[in-house]
This record gives sequence, structure tokens and C-alpha cells, in this order.
Amino acid sequence: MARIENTIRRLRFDAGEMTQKDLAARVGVTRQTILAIENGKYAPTLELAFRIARHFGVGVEDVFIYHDD
Amino acid sequence: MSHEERNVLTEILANAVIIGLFMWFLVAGHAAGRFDGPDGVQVWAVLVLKLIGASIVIGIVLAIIMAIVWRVVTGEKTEVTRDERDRAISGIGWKVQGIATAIGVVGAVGSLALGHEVITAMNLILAGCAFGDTGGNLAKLHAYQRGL
Repeated sequence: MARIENTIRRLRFDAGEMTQKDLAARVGVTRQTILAIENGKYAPTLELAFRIARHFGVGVEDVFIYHDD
Repeated sequence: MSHEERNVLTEILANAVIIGLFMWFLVAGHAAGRFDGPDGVQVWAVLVLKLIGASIVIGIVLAIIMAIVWRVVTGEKTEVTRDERDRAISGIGWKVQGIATAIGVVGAVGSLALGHEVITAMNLILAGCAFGDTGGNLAKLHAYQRGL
């Protein structure tokens, strides 16, 4: 079964301990959606994935890592 | 808990009250023989329209009460944003609701085919809609809690 991990928590930490609320406001979603993504309970659309990646100035594959188990 | 998730909880609560209200009035109406005459379907329809009106008011009042209680208990300001996750979860709710409503309609047609009264068929459609709404909201709540 495929599994998608993400590095959002680390990227937030590296960006001056940005809060989930701040990130949510910057990419146009609720804090609960960021929380769900970080916990692997929601796979975002491509559009949101790109918005998150661009916000941190990295590529999508640096944020979302696909594991084909 | 997001604004939309709290709305789902409120709707589940409101649905429980509304279903109870519908059952109370419809069962009492049947027991009193109000739907038995030649204008029985019309009497039923007028009652259901009034109950639908009451349901809307109950839903709005409960939503306001829940928002106030939430603010007082948690101190959190309501974040009214609806995002892509809310829309995806809403789609799941619509699917469940659609299936339950379809089952109600098929059940109604089946009951007519078996020779039951028109009001029995109408009640089945109503039940399909009401329980479909609750089922849809439960599915949405499950998706919010367990993930998509």
C-alpha cells in the first residue's frame, strides 16, 4: 500500500517555528487542514501541495515523500 | 475542531431533535386518524411543510447556541473558512445521503407495489431523507476524525 509522508513540521520549524495557523493563513486553508496533512490524515490536492512547497521555497518532492510499499 | 466540523456536530444534534419531532407528530396523526380521510394526503403534506419550517428554525437556533457555547468554553474565535478538505468531506456526506434517499424512494415505490397506502410511501421517502441526512453527517464526522 502506498504511503505519503511529509516534512511540513520540520519546514515550519526551520522557518522560525512558524505556527500551523500562520501556514494555514498563507496557503489559504484552515489550521485543522494543516494539522490533518501533517498527521497523514489528509492528502492535499496538487494545487495545495504546490502552494505549501512554494511557500517554503522548496520543490513538492521535498515536502511530500511517496513510499510505494 | 474546525467551523465545518462543529457544524456537522450541530446538524447531527438538530437532526435527532427534528426526526423526533417528525415521528411524534406523524405517529400522533396516524393514531388520531387525521390522514385517513379523502384529504388525508393533503393534511399530511401541510403538516410536513410546517415541520420542515420548524426544522429550519431549530437548525438555525442550535447553530447559534453551539457557536456561543463553543466560544465561551474554548475561547476560540470562529474561523469560518471552508477549504478543499471540507469540500472533499462534504462530498462523502452527499454520497451517503443520496444512497439513503434513493433507498427511501425505492422502498416507497415497493410499498405502493405491495398495495400499501400513499402516505406510507410518502413516509418512507421522508424517512430516507431524514436518516440519509443523519447518515451523511455521521460519515462526514467520521472523515473529520479518522481522516480521508
